[in-house]
Amino acid sequence: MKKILILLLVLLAFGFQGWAAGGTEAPTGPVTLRIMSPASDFTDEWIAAWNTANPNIQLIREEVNQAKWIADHLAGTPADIINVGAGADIPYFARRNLLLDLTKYFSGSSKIGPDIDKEGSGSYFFENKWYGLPKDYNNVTAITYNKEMFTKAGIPFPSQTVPMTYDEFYALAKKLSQPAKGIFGTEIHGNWSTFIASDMAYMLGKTLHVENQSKMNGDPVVRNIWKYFLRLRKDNISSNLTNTLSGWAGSAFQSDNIAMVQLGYWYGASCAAIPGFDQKYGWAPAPVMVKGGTRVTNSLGATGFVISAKTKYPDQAFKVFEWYMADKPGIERAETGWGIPPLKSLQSKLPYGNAFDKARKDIALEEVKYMRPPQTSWYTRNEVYLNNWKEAEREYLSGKLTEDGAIDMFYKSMNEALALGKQEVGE
Amino acid sequence: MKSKLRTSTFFEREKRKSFYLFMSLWILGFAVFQLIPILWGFNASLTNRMAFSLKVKFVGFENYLKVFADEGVFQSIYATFIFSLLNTVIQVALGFALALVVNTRIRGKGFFRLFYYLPYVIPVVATGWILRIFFDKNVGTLNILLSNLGIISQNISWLGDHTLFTVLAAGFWRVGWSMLIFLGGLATIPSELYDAADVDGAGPVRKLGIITLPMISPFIAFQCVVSFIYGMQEFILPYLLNPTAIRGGQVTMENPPRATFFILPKGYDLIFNKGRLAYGFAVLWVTFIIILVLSLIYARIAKKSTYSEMDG
Amino acid sequence: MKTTPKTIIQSAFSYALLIGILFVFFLPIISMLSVSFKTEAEIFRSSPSLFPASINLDNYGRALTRLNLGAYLYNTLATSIMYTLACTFSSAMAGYALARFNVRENGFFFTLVLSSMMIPYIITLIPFYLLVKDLGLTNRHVLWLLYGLGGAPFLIYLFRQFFATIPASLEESARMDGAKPLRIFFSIMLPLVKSGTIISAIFAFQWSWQNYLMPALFLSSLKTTLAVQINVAFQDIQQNILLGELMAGVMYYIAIPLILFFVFQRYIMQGMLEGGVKG
Repeated sequence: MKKILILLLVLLAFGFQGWAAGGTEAPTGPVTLRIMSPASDFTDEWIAAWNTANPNIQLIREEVNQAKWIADHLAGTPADIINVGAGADIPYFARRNLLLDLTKYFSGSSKIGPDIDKEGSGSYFFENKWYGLPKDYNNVTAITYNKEMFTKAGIPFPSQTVPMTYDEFYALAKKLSQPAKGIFGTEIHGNWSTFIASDMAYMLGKTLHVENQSKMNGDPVVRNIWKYFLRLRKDNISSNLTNTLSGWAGSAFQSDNIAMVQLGYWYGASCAAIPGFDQKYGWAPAPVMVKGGTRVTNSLGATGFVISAKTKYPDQAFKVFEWYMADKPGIERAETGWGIPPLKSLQSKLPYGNAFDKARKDIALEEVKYMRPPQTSWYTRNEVYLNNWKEAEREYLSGKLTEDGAIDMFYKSMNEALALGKQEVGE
Repeated sequence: MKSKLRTSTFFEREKRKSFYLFMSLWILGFAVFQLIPILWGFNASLTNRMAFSLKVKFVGFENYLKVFADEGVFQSIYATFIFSLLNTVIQVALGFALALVVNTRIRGKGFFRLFYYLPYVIPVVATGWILRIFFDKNVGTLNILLSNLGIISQNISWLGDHTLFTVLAAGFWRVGWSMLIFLGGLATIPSELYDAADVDGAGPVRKLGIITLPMISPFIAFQCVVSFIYGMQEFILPYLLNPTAIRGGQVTMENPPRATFFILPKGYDLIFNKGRLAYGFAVLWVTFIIILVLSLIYARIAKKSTYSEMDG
Repeated sequence: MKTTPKTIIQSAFSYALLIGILFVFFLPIISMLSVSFKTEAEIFRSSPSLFPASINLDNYGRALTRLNLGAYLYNTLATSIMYTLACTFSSAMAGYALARFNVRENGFFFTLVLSSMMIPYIITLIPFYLLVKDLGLTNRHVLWLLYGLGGAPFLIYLFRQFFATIPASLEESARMDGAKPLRIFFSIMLPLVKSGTIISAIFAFQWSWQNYLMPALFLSSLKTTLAVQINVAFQDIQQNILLGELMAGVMYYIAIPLILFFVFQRYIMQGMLEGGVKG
């Protein structure tokens, strides 16, 4: 017992010492910048490389954690550099004064300023200010399809240049589904229904919201857009509660459980690890609403990085930002083809060696022309659309609600969230 | 007479001093880690604070009024309640049954006891992952086993169609803890009682009814309260056993289906996903009061209706 | 025991039942092991088999590097040991106070300790975070030591029961000799509840080993614990989840608590059977 007690006291003393020693940060010494990002977007190798090369600016990474971000915000000490899952959220954050205005930094940087691809990075430019850049962007609605499944079903491959309509896409997906065998025609990934709905509304000349983004649009045409996603699941063309996927859409596609996915350019890099990928998989552009009509695509606003408005070291943080976008990490990312770099000079580094890589890059660069910012409202976060949608969708799939009932439920919870968002920004 | 009184108050004072001396660490920890935080939460629940509010104002009990009109919150409380009740039944009935089974006088019971308890030792995050893969519709071991045995012809979507069952199954898997408590209870029963019953010619069922159950009732009462409280606090398993919520290689904090959208995940959703800080705090405060009141009522009933040599 | 046909049938039945239950409890563990030995292609085959084609240890090797086991094991051990020591110590003190000092407030504090179990802890996350931040304790393992000093309700309860079984005479005589309360506690009382201490320590260790929310909130990616890391480590460059490696990683993660359990199981079983927990 005595030994345990002594050990405990020693540990206590040790602990307090460590606490006291680290409690105050010398203002002149090296600064520590916190990066909130998943490891896949800001790897520990890059961090280690930076830390050895720059003893005066040390980086530490924290996992993306909503609870932590909010608590940090209340404490007045958010992470310095933050990964934004979808640039569609930029207006939301900007309206709440969370982001550092980088316009001057961009124009002062020879590596970034003149080189930005404004079409692809547009979501990070809000009300004439730059708030960050995508790590890379993608035409996320372009189709990757499994050639073998088309051949087996005796269906000709879709055109690589002329988009089909969403009705055709739906019919095709239905033909390719075999629910009893766990094979789906297509799958809507994560909360991409919100973004696809946004594209569809653009193509029909409609908006998802009315009254300056503060209410959902009750127009029957727009309601019908949302219903499309309900039907996909109800008709067993996409996964539902009874027919589930193991893992996410991309892995199910690669294990031959999905015939077509709308994931976009970056997903090609994932497929490239599968043996025989360039023979097995093909590409088609994002569908349209009217044959030969307007084409619209989006990039979810693209995953990217911003700098907190409350950072104590904006200059140092921008140095890291610049390095990440234009130097080693940026070049490495471009070469692997995980997305189209936000800097034009890096776009030539994208892989273009085989038919598969050629097709996806050609389609991507063509579709960039039709890219529009997602129509999500700045009064609430993308995550809220997802969770509210899922709740309504589940009620519908379990037979408790009709199609219209589900849309009503979704609209009701969204309108509530939008009204609260209005309060939040003090309107 | 007078001096005796003085010494007794002296002892009383010394005793009190010692009491607080030994309680001091807990009191400090409680105040800092729990009391201040929940009071902070209460204070915040009286405002209209959102996660990134630019202006915050005091609104009194407005949020609490909203809680009582919120159907979603009601559904979550209801789901939690159903889960806690079923889980309590599992913990008490099966825990007790297992304790009886391994308490028989046969060789090797120590071995079985040990291995029945083992799943409880597995950390809960690991439990979630193990069961998620165990119950998976397409690659899960349970469906493979059932179809190999010819019991099912088509794979069952355990996670999607029977979500509550999977979370309860996790509770069942971890029943060893409850078993141990009941084993402790069985050990307190003097064997003379059984000997006396043998003399009276009582069979095993009768012995269970007249000796074991009454003697073990305090343990049953204890286990009921504790399982209920833990059930009301269930948080992480519904996320890990949510059929749709793996993106990339990670579990996301996406809301679970209605049957397992318990009140703590609901609070998490309100506060962190939807950013409704003040309202989320109000919901959790109401939850706290509900758990507290139910537990106190329950403890009172249990105290009256069980055989007990209650100490202090 | 007499060996009549009846008792043989009885015991055969008992064993069948016991083994049947054991099988049910072991199914998920068999599943975990089976998946951990399979290749990804084997796992995702359209009609997968129950057992792996061969015992393939590749997943264990890859999981080791993907998880960066050494570093995160250190983090998890550091936080868990600090929490265990502090929490056991503090709970023993509080349990002792509640068991041995029958002052008027005793009942009130006992109820308060039990009620503190009922606080929906999501409510405390933000304020707790702000507090820890103010104390300068974020990204520091020593936080677990301080947090542990608050004790844990169930352990306090456990210690209270263990201390209650010790006859008062031991304490009285020491007090007559003029020993101070702390001295009595450390040199006489605590050694008498050895099995209670071990049980409490094991529970405390287990809780902190499986705690997800605290490390997720307070520690950066290099300092976090396995409970967090296990959830983020197992995706490949295609962003697919690697089930085989994940299960192998889970094996690493649960190994330490399992080993501890087997080493100390005698104390746990004995201590609990002594009637440590009582209604």
